Amino acid sequence: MEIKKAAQAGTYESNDVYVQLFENPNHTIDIQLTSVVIKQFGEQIHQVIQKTLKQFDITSCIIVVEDKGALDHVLAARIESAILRSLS
Amino acid sequence: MTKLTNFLAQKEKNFYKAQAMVSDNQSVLMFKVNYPSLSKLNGFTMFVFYECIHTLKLEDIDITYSQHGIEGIMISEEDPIVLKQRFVTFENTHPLGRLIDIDVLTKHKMIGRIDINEPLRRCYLCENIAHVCIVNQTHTTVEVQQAFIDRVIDYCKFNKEKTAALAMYCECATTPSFGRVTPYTSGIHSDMDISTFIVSIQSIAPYFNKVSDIDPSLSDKQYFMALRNLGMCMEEAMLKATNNINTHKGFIFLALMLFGAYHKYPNQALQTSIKQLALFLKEDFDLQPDTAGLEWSKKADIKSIRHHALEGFSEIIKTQNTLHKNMKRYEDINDAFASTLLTCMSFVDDTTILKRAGLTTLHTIQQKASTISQDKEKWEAFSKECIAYNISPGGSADVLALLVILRVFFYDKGEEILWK
Repeated sequence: MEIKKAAQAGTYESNDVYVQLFENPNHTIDIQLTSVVIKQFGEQIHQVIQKTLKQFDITSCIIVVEDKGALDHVLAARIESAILRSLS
Repeated sequence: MTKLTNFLAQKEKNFYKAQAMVSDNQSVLMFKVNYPSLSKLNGFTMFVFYECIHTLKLEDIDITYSQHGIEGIMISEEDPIVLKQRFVTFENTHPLGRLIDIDVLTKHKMIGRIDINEPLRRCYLCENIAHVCIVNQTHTTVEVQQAFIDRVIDYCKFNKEKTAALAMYCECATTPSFGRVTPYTSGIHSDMDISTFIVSIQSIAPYFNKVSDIDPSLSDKQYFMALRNLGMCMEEAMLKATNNINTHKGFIFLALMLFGAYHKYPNQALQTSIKQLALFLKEDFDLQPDTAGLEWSKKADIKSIRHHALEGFSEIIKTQNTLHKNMKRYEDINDAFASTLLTCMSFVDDTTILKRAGLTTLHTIQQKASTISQDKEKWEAFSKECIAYNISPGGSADVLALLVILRVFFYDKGEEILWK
């Protein structure tokens, strides 16, 4: 499934994350990640993003994730909301 | 919706609301207390919030109470970078600074510590970066909550003003209502709400430090009269702040007797000192009764607040163990206070209940409170029952606040008893 409609979820508050989804003209998955703890958890956050996109069979999108130290399940929940908003 | 999705959705809603409030050249300041729990509202978080706001001399803050705790929002025209710098300095230097989060949001972005070249916040348990501890879940929620509570207790201990303020916040934050005013409801009271309690707390708390100005070498009688004078000044300040509503009269009496007894005789058993000072209360029983307590003491065989004082608060001090156990037993500190409040309701002959509903209802309430004090499932229904009876256990609530003082002012990390 490809993301067609832009959508977002989350906040810029501490321990939360702001997720934005856009259509990707290249038809691939493009992850743009910034995080206050990128050094410590960059890899782990990437994995959560990929796993959550996979759960929804997303094959094409630009996903912009601005992480302020969210827990994994918060990150997953925010991505999920953004996807559901984009698909609705 | 699960509790978490619900929680996240609410957080998002508040954030968008804040963002919509702000126009160019303005920033929104958002204040939140860092207490890890899905139910963040309790006396400790309220105390930290108001203590920080007060220290920062901020006014006109829009305050909301919810499961997210107490949150404040205000709009400022000041330069966002200067603001953030000021708050970060506060967070880094004030003893409670790490317990509060102050966000500065402009129309276009959230100002972070990075924008002012400040290192990331440190965890309040170890010196690691706070975000790293949170994501790694280095410390259990219970450990972090305990560290929060210990920090607040350390801040208040041996300071009469702070301890009394904390005690009053703990009382008014305690939910369910059982007819009282709480942040969520005015209970049976049509003339006040939580903001009445907040202004009352802030108006009377500073006076408690004045107990230390009374000369302990005065005779018992003179000392007692000085305390009584102070109490009258406090009542006046309270009534002025609340527009003539009695919010804390009973608590002022209890706390002054306790602080006074300890200040006059620091090395004597607390109960003996209280008894000694309380002797001069006996004369009140001969006067024309001007309080519900005195009136009912004449009418029925009840134990009014004065009787408790004459016994050196022995029954109240005994209940200290119940609060102590409850704070260990309940995961949510609010539940520890609610359960203790019910215990207080079971043994206090609460004259605020008597005044509204009479002796039979008082006994029914006492009986019921005693049966369900440890049965959390039944609290909500009992609270509704109290409201249906049109009662509000104000006297029992004052005793709960006194127990918090005993716990905070005189205890060391909740284990060692410092008073005799």
